[in-house]
Amino acid sequence: MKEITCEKSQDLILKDLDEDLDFSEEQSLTNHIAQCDKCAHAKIVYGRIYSSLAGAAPEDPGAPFWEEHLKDMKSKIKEKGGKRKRGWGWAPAYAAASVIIVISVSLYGLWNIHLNPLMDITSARSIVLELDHVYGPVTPENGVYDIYGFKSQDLDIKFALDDPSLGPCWFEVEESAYNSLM
Amino acid sequence: MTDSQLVKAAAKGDEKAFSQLVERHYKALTMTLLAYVKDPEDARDICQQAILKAYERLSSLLDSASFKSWLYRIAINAANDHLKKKRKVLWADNLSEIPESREPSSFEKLKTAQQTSRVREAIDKLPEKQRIIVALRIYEDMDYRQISQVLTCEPSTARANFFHAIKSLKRILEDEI
Repeated sequence: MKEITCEKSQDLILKDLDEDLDFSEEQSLTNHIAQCDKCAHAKIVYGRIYSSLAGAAPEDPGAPFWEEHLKDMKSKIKEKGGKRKRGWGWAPAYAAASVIIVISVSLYGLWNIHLNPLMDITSARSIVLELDHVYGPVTPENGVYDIYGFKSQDLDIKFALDDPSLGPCWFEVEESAYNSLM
Repeated sequence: MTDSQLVKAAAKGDEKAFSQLVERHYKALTMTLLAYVKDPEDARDICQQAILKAYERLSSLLDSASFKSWLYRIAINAANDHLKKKRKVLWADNLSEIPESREPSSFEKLKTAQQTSRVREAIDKLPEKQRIIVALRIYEDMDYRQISQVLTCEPSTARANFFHAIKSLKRILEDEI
């Protein structure tokens, strides 16, 4: 059987204490220890350290400490949970408020008669994206964007700028079908 | 209920399920942190900080079965930050005040005559990384795979570090034990 070094032997002692030695390692260790006083002593010392370790855990801080700790933690969790719930609770309200603002802006555009056509197709597209949030998809019926507007579903969408220098901030939406019903 | 089931329920907003998880783990986690940071109040604060962080991010935990190692990882990261800050404060304090060297009293010598106390003191002398591995392996009874998940290293590294810690303890205690 191959001889092992003292260094290897000490690793095997630790592996043994970890209950992880295979048969050949166990044989090697037993043979080495039988011939090496230093490692035999090391095995005893490691064994004592190992058996003392579990008992050497930090001292328990005591029941009042644990009670206060748990109470404190539960109240913090409750507080956190409450915030989380409130956070979710407001989300639909924020969404509804956003929709109302966008619709108000759109409707305000109806009464704003300073008509200026859009300057470019990029502005038209960005307005369409805004409209999508309010009306759902308003893709042009013919698939072509126009700087003056287009028809989509029951809507006759006309682009109109209050002030061309401000970019696409106001626009007009004529709800043709709705108007005709009125 | 298993940890995994409780984690799934808690992730869906069941606060009671999370409280159950907390009650299951907070003592052991605090004791591990106590072995690491050596101050009960600090250990308690870090434990609470870690548990609240885990609660906030529960939905990001992909494998609900690995909750314990995930929670310990959060806690040990928080403890590392705490120790870094504490070292800075100690360093700043030492600039203005050099502590007097203090010989242990005869009473203290008598106290440390007990083997358990000596081992506990020896553990306290270990470097932080070795101390936490001893705590996880011995007090938490984690295997090397679990330790590797907590410390984000290979299981073989965890084992090598544990053995290294035991060898360090032997060097410290050789003449006393």
